[in-house]
Amino acid sequence: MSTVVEESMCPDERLVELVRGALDADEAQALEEHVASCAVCARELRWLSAEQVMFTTRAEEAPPLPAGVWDQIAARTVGVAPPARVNKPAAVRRRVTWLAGASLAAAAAVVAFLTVDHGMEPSARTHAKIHALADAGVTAMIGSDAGTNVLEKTTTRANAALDSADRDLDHAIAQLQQDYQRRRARLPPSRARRYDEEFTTALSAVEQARTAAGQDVSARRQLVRARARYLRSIQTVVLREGRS
Amino acid sequence: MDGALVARAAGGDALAFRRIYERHAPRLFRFLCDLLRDQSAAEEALQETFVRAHTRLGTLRDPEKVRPWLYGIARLVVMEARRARHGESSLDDDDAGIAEPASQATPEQALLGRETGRALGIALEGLKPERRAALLLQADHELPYDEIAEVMGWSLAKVKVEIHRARVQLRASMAKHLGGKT
Repeated sequence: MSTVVEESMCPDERLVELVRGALDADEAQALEEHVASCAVCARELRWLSAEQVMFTTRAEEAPPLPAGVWDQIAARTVGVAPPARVNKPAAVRRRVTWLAGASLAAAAAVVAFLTVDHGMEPSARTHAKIHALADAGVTAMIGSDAGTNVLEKTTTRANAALDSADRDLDHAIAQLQQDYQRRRARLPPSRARRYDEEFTTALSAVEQARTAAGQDVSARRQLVRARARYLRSIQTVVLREGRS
Repeated sequence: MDGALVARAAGGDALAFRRIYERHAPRLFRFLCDLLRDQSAAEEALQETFVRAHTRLGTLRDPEKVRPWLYGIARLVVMEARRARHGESSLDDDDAGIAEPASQATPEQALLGRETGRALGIALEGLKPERRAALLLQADHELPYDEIAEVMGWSLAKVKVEIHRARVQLRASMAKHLGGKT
C-alpha cells in the first residue's frame, strides 16, 4: 500500500525537524517555501505541529516519578561494582585509601582509650580477644560514619559501608554476649539484674532504630550507633567482671 | 555531560550513576508507563532498567549515547515483562499494510477537541506495542531516527515506515473518537 511519504518527495523527518526548530535558518526557509506550494506537506506540517502540542500537554500531565524507586535501585546495586573500573579517577582512589587508614587509626585510638580509661587488667588472652572484638565494632562504627560524611549523598556506597558495619557488629556483639553469659553465672543476682536491665534498655533502643532504618542512610547510621553503644556497654561489663 | 557522568559511573562513582538516573528516569518512567499501561509494572521495569544499566555501563561504546542505550534496555525489559504477563512470544508486529484508512479530520479538530488528551491516549493504546514505542520515541521523547533504529534494533527504513504508519493510524483513531470523519 502506498503512503503519503512514499508518494511525495517530502520526507516527514525534515518536517519534524522544522516543527522542533532543529533546522538552520536557510534549511528552514527552503522547506517553508516548499510547504507553501505543496498541499501534502502543508497538511502534514499542521498535523505535526498539533501533535507536538498534544504530546507536550500529555507529558506535563504524566504521573511523576515515584520517590522510592531510586532507593530500590541503590539497594540492588550495593556492593556491585560496574564491570569496567579502569577509568576510576585518581582522586577517588586517594580518598578511599585515606578513609581506610583513618578508620583503622581512629579505631585503635578509641580501643586504647577505653582500656586505659577503665584501668582494666584482664588476663592476656581475654584482653587480646576483647580488643579484637572492640576493634571490629568500633571500626564498623567509625567506618560507617566516615563513609556517610564524605560521601553524603552516595546512598549506594554508604549503604555498602553500613552493611559491612552491621556484619562486624553482629559478630562482635554475639561474641561478647557469650562472654557475658559465662560471667553472669558467677555474679551476685542483684548485679546480674542491673546489667540485664541496662542491656535490655540498650537493646530496646537498637530495635527502635532497626524498625525505622530500612535503606535510609541516616536512619541506618542511627542504628549502627545504637548497636555500637550496646557493644560498648556489654564490653565494659565483660572487662569489669573478667577482672573480678 | 552524559559522557562524563558515564565515565565516572563506570569507574565506580555511585553519585555519578545517581545523576544519570535523575537526568533520564522521569522520561523513561513515562515511556514505560505508556508501554506497560500499568504504573506499578512501570516502576518495577524502571528499577530493572537501571540495575541492568549499572552492570553494563562498561559495555557502552559511546558514553554520549547513554539516552538511547537506556531506552533500548527499557524496551527489552518491557518485552520480557509482557511475555511473563501474557505469554506473548514476540512484540514485533510486522504487518504488511495499514490497518485503518487515513483520517480526513483536520489537525485543528484533533487539537481543539474537548477530549483530546483522552482520545490521544486511546489512539496510542490502539497501536501495536512496537509501533507505539517507535512513535513515542519520536513524538514524545524526541529521539532522532538513527537513535530510534538503535533502540528498536531496526533498519532506518523500517523506523521511518513504522512511524509513518503509526501516525496514520493515530490520526484515524483520534478522528474517530473526536467525532471526525475517517
